[in-house]
Amino acid sequence: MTIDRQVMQRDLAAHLAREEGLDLLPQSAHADLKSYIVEAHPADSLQTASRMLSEGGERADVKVQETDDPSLFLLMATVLNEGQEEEVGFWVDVANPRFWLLHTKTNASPAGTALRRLVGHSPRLDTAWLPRNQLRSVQSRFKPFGFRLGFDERPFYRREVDMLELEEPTHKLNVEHAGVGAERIYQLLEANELTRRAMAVAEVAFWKSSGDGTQLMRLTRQGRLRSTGQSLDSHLQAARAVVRSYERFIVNLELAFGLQFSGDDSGGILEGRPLSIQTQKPEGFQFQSLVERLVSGIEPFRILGTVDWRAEEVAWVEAVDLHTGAPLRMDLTPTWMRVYLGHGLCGNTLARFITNLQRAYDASLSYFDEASDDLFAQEAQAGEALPT
Amino acid sequence: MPPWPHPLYNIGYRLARIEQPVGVEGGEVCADLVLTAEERNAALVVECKEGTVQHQQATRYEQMTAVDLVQTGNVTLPNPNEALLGLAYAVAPEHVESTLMGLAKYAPAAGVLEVGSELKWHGPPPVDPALRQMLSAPISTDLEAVPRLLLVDEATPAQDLAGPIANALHGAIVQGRDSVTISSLIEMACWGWPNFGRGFQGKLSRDVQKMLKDAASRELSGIVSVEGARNQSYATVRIHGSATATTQAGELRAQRALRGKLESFVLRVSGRPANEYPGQLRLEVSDDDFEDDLSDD
Repeated sequence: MTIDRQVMQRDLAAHLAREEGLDLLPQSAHADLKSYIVEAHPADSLQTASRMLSEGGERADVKVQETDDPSLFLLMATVLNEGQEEEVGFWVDVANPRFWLLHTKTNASPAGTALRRLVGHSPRLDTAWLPRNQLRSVQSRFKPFGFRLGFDERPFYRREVDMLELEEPTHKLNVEHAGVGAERIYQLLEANELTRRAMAVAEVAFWKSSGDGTQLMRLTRQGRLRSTGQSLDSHLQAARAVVRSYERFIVNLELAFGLQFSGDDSGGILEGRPLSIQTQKPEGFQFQSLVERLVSGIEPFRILGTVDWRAEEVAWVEAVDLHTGAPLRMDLTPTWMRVYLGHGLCGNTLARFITNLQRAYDASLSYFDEASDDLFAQEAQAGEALPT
Repeated sequence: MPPWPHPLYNIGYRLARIEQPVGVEGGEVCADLVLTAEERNAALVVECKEGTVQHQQATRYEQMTAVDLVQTGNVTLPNPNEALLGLAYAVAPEHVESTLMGLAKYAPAAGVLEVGSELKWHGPPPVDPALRQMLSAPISTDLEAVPRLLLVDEATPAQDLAGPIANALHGAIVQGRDSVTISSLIEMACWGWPNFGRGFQGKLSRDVQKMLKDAASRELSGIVSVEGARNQSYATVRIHGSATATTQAGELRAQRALRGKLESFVLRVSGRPANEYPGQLRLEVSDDDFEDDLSDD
């Protein structure tokens, strides 16, 4: 039997229609169709992407099977989910060699476990990390239908600290809204000083109508697009739109911030600039403990480093991104931060750092530099105003 | 509200060249920084000093014209023959007086840019009216907030780079590499280091190689070894062991243990105390689970 994109299309469409699909991949009976973005650095060709997938699969003990389409693969894994072994399967589309799409018909929890295993064993692979404005920018291209906020600054607290004694008005916030009034609700919460700092968007929901009906989709900040409805075309087009937008975002980060000193004996020039971030100082905890925690390797940051305290609230940090092995240099203060990214390093590292800072430190952080252009602004995300 | 003021940027200046040799009537002078403001047809040449004014260098700066800069210095100005060319010696506050005295003799047109808790201009006013206006009053600065763009210069000893080198080595180990050249490690630690000349490259490579070879028999024993090469830049660090564990928590513990050894190496060679700032905390961090975005169907 030939296995190609038409087969994938039939298989996924059957799943959306709750029909018996092709028996090529495991599926969960009531699972929504989901697509995940995986970033492969620095894959620039189909051959590289195929090799990275194959090597990553071997290390992570997941089975990778070629299809008759050279840019399409099947991936299967057995994972432990709530104490039970569960089979997970993905269609892996590497047509874009750097930004892959993995489609699955299995439940989110085991699928996520399998994906984390694949990515966790491959320093060159990572999931997508969409900061707040990236998510909202994607949402704005469809009909918005809600959002979920997920903010939690507890990673920065010491365990023995009694939360009741802390001064922070909001140290954890989980809010889910569904409905066409999403934008007004969002603005209402954002306008309130009690919640402004905690407006970390974890997921956006939106819908699209077509001849096949209405497709309701949810996109998370880790690049998972989940979909209910009958229209596979709508789902795949939305997935492609997310990848397109994310690719532009990451490439622009690399162009703007990849620091490089080039030249020769007849002088040189410095290209790129550090990423500068403005934040609000949280009320509830010491900045020094925050920095120590930030670079201690904890989730979700996975940054392990050494702190050189230059003043009470000025830290110079040399660290390693444990996920990719990328060296990171940072200047950290309670109200501003700088991240230095060497030329050739992966923009996904910056995207992950920003997304997780929003999720655990200050969701209202803003980017700034001398040029005063805001790469995290919605217009820039959409590509209309690219940095120069 | 950026942490470091950028008054030159605000009036249109952009950094055009670093360490740029420029041919002048009396010979050649190597300008530390060349900034241009094309809109106003202006250039500013900056020499960074520690209080000394070298007779020959200052004289050549005094001779420099905008045409010299354009024709021999890889710089573009809209109308070189009529361009405004300014010269400043940038010094720390304690060196302002001695620099002014030295310049009065050899380069009287040059100004002195004091870089301290305030940015101040001393000496003859700048020829560019926008620069003159901008520096007419001191500008507050915070020296701790200077962007760390260039970590080395010709005078930097290798031990000052021990931290960034150790960090780059840790990165290579996390990436699962079998080996990494000394020159790659230095490039990861401080971008653009080869641009400081071959003599400096060779010395820094040799010193870093020696430093790591020593560490390979001490703190990093069993983790790395260093193999020499005829060309010092291509000497290689072989990586023998990387942290492997079956769980993420186990892997993190292994990485922290490795980090501890790298930090010991840095502390030994740099001679810095472990707690650079008296209030620094050393937390016993835990492997907390952090709620992620996965919700089930």
